[in-house]
Amino acid sequence: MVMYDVIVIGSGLSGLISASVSSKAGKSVLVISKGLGNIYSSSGFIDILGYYPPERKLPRKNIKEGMKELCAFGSQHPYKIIGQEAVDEACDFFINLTEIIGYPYSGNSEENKLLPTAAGALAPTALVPPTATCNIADFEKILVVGFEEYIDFYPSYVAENLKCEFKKHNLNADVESKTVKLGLDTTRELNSYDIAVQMENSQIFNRVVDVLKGKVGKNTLVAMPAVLGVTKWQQVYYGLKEELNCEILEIPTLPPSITGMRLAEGIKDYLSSLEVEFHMGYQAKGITGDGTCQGITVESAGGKIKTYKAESYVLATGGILGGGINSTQRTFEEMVFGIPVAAPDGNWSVNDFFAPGGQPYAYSGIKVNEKLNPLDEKGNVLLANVYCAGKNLAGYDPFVEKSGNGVALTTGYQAGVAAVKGCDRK
Amino acid sequence: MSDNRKEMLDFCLKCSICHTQCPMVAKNPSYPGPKHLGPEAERLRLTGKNPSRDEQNKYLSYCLNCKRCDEACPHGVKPSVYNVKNKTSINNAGQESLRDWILAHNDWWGRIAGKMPGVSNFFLKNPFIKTGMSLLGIAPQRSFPAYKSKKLKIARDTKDKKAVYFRGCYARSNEPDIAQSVIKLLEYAGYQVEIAPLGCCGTPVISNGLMTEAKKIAEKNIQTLCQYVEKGYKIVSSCPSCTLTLKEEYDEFFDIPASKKVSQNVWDIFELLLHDNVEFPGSNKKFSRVIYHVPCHLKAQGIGTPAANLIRKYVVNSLKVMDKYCCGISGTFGFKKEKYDLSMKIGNDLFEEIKKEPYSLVLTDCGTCKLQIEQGTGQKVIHPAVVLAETIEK
Repeated sequence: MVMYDVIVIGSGLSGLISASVSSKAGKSVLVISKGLGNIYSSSGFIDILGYYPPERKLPRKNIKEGMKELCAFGSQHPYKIIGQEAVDEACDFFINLTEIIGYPYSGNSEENKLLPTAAGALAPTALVPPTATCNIADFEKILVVGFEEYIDFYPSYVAENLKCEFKKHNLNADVESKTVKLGLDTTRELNSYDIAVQMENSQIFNRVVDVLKGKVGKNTLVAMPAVLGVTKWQQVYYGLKEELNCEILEIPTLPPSITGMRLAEGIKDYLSSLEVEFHMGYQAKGITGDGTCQGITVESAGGKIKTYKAESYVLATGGILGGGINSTQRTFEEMVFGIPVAAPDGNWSVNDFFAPGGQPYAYSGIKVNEKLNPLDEKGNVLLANVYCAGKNLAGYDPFVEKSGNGVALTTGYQAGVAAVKGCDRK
Repeated sequence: MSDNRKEMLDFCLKCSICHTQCPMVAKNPSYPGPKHLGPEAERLRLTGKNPSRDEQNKYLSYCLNCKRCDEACPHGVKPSVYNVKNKTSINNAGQESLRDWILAHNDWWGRIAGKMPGVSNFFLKNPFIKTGMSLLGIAPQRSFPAYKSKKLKIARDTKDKKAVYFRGCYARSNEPDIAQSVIKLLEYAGYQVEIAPLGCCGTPVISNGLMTEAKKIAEKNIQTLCQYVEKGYKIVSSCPSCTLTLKEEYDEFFDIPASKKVSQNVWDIFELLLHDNVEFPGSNKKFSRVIYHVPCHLKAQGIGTPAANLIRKYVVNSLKVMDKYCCGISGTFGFKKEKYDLSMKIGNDLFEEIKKEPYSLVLTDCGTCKLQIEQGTGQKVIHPAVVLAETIEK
């Protein structure tokens, strides 16, 4: 049997960050995950705190002010547990990591940027990929461009909504839309990945150039769905910018999300180069005893059980959507260790799906101490060498706060740091 | 279809993560992709009134069965399983089905050719034979593996630990050095070794949709291997596709009660060596700059990369593990005339990666991955068991 320093369970954003922190610290790391993480479905943009308190109508401009309020009131919020300093460190770590993987993010943990969504809303976000670095307030004209073959993005709908949003935020720009025909075979439905692959084909790329060249000027921002290349995004994105001589903004799309995918695969390639191992496709179960995790069992092909051991374990399996927590109508179940999951006191849900305060069930999750060790109902540490990260944590609603990837990144970072310290103590 | 598979259909959220991992989707834009061809179409098939069935089925023969979709799914759905099952419904033209039948029986040809390797190798390179193959629909550009026969040396002493080695076609008929290395490794690890008196595992037959015949092969293999299991033998294979088929496919596709008993006792050679904590004397590492291609069917076993662990520890100073790409040959797929170009196109990412640096050694466990990489890069490819066995004193 191979012994590792750190085993990370889950390969979403929080798991990949924990693995990066541990591996960069020189630890041997194994990542076990049932499938690919939800990072492939997420925008890949790091929203740290868009709205706080959640009922807020307008997004927070200054993230740190929101954080202060949150630390004063939000009793169980993961940010409060890890603290502002860890949040800042995690963001620095991430900026540096994305630089190394060749997909450099920009932004900081101080100030939100406003960027359009695929529905044309202006959403607050903090750290952005290199294809979304522009400031929308700097442009006289915005041209929303979609593709006829890509039916998950409607440029005119985006443009009309953007106009309203601009008014709401006291911004000024002339917003227009255009649909470009790529000339692709549409016998089957094409999704964002298919279009992104096709954009790497020079013939298709040139069609876009031919339609738009000369029609956009220096003061125009061209906003396109995030389908400008998968692995060859640099060639497509910077190539297009050069050909059209204007700024281009990628708007994250419906799943599969290419911006999320580029981030995930970039980090995974980097981890592979650091000799991090991956065990994919099967559900993990924890072996516990003496208040610690003694190992992880994973089923393999044919049902044979493999056991892996490490000094520290990071539990980054996600929430209800990610499969880390299973929910029935009355109970929650944490899938790896059976850690108790705190359920809301009153109703689990409210009738208004888009209720401004969010849905109570979203706050459910694992309760942790400042080291991110899981706690039992009485607040005692359950597993001293297990550190929890990401959406399996209790105390926040990522959907209304716009804090999903932010919590995943920062708690993933902190769990990685704690896991490394856990190895060194021995 | 088992009730379990029917139930699993409901877990497909249509997130399309599988779609982004499909090597065929990336290189063949008209291919519908795992989500659509698998769970989505299966729901329609189950209603019994799917109007576009024939249209979809024509793409089933393009599924590489690399299982990257299965591994990618965060919810446990296995799109490849529906594809393999439904391959039986492909209505091929006569010539194509003859060609597929010929390719699916590489085991037979290997047995015949292996008896007279010199003559067979001469004929396989003969332009007239090549033309004949081309007329049958076999890609004339494809280099066939040379046949080689060798008498294997096996120690006769009795030991407590016993292993039965399932060689598979490639290690038996094409590269018996692999078989000899595996025997050497097992004996070094303290096993009494026996060669399983069996032929093909059934992979090429399954992937060409010949399920009735595949079931017969499975029944025979399970019956024989079961007897070994009862006598306390571990079943060992060095071919990832054989290993995966013995471990999982029999149980997945054929209702044979004893298959579970066999599958639990099947080991990849490196998986077993690692499990037994076998130490090797590789103190002076001979190689640096080595690349190891992880075959899809090894990746799909969910055992990590045990060969890489041991190779890193005993054989090489720096090992690059590549599990990102499918090589594109997919067993018999890349031998088919109309699929050859696509097969090379899919492999191109891997070829480029291997050509990028002057690697002193290219390693992979799978016989057909090896053929494909050699064809695409011109580099010689070696089974990791061969280099690990070399560390053992004679």
